Amino acid sequence: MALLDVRNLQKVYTTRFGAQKVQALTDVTFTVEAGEFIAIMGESGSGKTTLLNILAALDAPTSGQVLLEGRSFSEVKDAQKAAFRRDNLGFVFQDFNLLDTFSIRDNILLPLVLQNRTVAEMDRRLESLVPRLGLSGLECKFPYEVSGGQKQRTAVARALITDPRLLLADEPTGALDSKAATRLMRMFAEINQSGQTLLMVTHSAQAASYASRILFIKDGQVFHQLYGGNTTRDALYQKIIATLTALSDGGAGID
Amino acid sequence: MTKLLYFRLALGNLWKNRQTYLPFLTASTLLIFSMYSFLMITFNPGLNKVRGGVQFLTILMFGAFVVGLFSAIFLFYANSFLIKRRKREMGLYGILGMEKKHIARVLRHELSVTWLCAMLLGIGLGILLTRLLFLLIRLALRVEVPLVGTVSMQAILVTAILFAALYVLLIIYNSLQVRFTNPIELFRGGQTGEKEPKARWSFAVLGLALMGGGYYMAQAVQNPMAAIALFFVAVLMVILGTYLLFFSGSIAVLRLLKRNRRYYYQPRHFVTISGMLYRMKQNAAGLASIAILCTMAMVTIGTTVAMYNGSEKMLDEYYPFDMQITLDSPQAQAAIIAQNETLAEDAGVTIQSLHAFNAYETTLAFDNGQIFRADVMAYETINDYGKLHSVLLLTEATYAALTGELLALEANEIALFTTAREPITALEMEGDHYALRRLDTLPVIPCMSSGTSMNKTYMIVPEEATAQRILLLTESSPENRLPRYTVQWNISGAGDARAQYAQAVASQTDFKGHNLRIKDSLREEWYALHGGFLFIGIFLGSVFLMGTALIIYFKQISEGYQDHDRFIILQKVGMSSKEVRATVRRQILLVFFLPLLVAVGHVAGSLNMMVLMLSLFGLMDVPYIAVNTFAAALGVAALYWLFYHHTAKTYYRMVKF
Repeated sequence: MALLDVRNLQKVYTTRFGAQKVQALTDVTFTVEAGEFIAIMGESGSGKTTLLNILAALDAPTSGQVLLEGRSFSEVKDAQKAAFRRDNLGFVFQDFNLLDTFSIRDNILLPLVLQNRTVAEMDRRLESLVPRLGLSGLECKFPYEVSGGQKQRTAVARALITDPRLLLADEPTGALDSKAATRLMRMFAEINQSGQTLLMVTHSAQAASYASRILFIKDGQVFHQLYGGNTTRDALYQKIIATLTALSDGGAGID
Repeated sequence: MTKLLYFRLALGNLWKNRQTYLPFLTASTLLIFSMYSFLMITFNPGLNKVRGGVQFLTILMFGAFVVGLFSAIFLFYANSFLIKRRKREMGLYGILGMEKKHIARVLRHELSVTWLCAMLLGIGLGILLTRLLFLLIRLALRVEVPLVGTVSMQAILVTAILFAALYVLLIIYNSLQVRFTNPIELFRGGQTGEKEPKARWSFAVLGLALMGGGYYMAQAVQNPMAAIALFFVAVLMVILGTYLLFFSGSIAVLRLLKRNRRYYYQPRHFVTISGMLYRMKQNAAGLASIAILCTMAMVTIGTTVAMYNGSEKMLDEYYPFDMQITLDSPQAQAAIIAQNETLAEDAGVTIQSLHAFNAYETTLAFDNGQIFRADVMAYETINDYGKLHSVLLLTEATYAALTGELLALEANEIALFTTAREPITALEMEGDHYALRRLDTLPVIPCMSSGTSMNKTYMIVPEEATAQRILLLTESSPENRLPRYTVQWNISGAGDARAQYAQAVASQTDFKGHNLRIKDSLREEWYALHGGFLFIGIFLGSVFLMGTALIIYFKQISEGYQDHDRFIILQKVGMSSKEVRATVRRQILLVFFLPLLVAVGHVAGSLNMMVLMLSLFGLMDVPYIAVNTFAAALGVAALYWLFYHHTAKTYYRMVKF
């Protein structure tokens, strides 16, 4: 059974008076196996963010289903959505979304606190995670005292500390310089190698080239897929560029 | 042309920021309205013709002063909040190429426009509500008042100048704010992280000491004159202590809580503690102001209500009988009694419990068990005021005739009834020791000819000689050592008959000019004064309440803006909306109860002082004052809860996903 099963997702936004309908997702279907590292690419307005919001259970589809380990999102009651998200999903956002009232340590621990874990367990998990993400020595600093890359790694730590089934990332390199972005993507690849399933939405071909599979979305549908497989990262990068070029041509010439 | 541009920019800014500027404008309008109302009554030519109008004037002046002071504090608080919120916007102007002086000019225009609007609205409101206000005063004074509800140019002028001055100060403050920050800093504005505040133990200790000192003063003071003299010192110390404690104490407590990891890392406490700690510096000023304003509202309303409700008690204290007259011969006394009967019969009232007696009156000082003359300079000082007594000396025989109670005093024994707080335990005169017998009550209170705020003491001596011995110590002129002949009685009858009788008595030559006191007429005067007190008290209380409400509102709105993003992140990370609501409620409850608790503490702490000061007006009943004050405190707390509930809802709407 696939870890994540996305079936015929459709999302229609209606303006307040119902005068205009905007179709954000037409028909999206794909599955994610455990241990995969998926990148979703597409132009602005292609429906990437809508898709991610639905996968994050922050938004509900107009029709279609999302199943996590066979359990449909629509079965989860509204009141339990937050707990469901907290226990099963981890998030990394483009603009970090760290809380400036918390130290780096407290930012990372936040989901565990919400889960009512013991202090001892918090310490244990924090100890193994902090060095992996290169955050040693920063625990007591506040977000405004550290660099963008460190902020984003803090956000990754916060997402990973609950051992989520699936890590969702929305343009994680969007606000980082190229050096910090490369470091983050290497880290994502490492995390993936240790068994964590990742799903990332991105604009950047560079970032996407670290993934094991890339889905291209256009006009609310999965238009094309690329598998990393045995190709080198460089070759994959070239393929992505080619696909993107082809996509902007209207889809002609894709083999 | 360019000038017009800045002006239009200013108007546009006000409109864009209306969510925060509208409350600011409303607050300014209400403050101007309050100030104008006070001044208009103060400057009213009719006020002098009002009975008790002069006292009323003093209170009004004090009221205007308090409103002015509060306006200054509030406008600065609100303005600094507004400016902080807009730093980003100002930074943007700077980056777009506007010079600092231009930004300052825009800000100046904004404040000028606000001032003008607030002036027009406030004065307009004042003029419109004038008639209503005067009606209220008339009702409160219980007399026809020759006050005229005209438009007072003088009041308008003074108000305009005063608020213009305040606004000029705000403009200067804002210009300095713009001058000393660079555009990039401005642009980042509120975003630049604030360091978590450090707990300053020295400040906490100083605050505690100041507050403790103020409380101690309020508790230790024993006489009303000292209470009045120390009142402002004590109030100042407590206010300062409150601010210091809120600034440092709250941070210290929160840091202690945070250090307790098992407590801190719980969903209920985690967000609340770190959030409060993060903004405690700005929080502290607001919370302390709320606590102080709340205390002021409670104390003002409480004491005025206690005074007004206790008017009859105070009247009874001063005038135990409906009628009293003090004469200088037994013949005059007998003549009065005879004449009085005819007058009563003519007017159709009945005389009840008439007492005629002779006694000595003097003022003296009890010090270390000895008697001294009261006019010695030493006893005029505040600390010794409590040693001064207004004394009525009766012989045992007179007392027995008056009350029907035989005291059977020894030759060197004196019976004593006193309102003094400082106990009198021993008495020695020229080497002779007198035993003191304390009386707990007087079956019939013999009237004194003068009302005074000093301790009232009744001494019953075994014989004339003892009385003379005391008088020799206290009175230098022989005529003051002569007995006074007093008649006191109650009357019953219809209101008209009573009035007619009072008028008849007052016009009789035998009565006139002999310390005649008619309680019914005195009552009118009394209400004229205390009705005024009530009006001012309620008015001032409302101003304080308004201030509390405005500060709470500003606090909540500003925090709502800051917390909006924070709560959205929390919800994305997996906090349910239920948990968000619980956190908000918890945070708000803390912020709500802390100042209220402090305010109630302050009220309790000030009670002793209030009681002493009220005793100057003759209100001595401590439980009565306490009940009234705490009832008022409860009322204020209820209103406070309403404000808070409302703003909390607004806040939740602001932060919810």
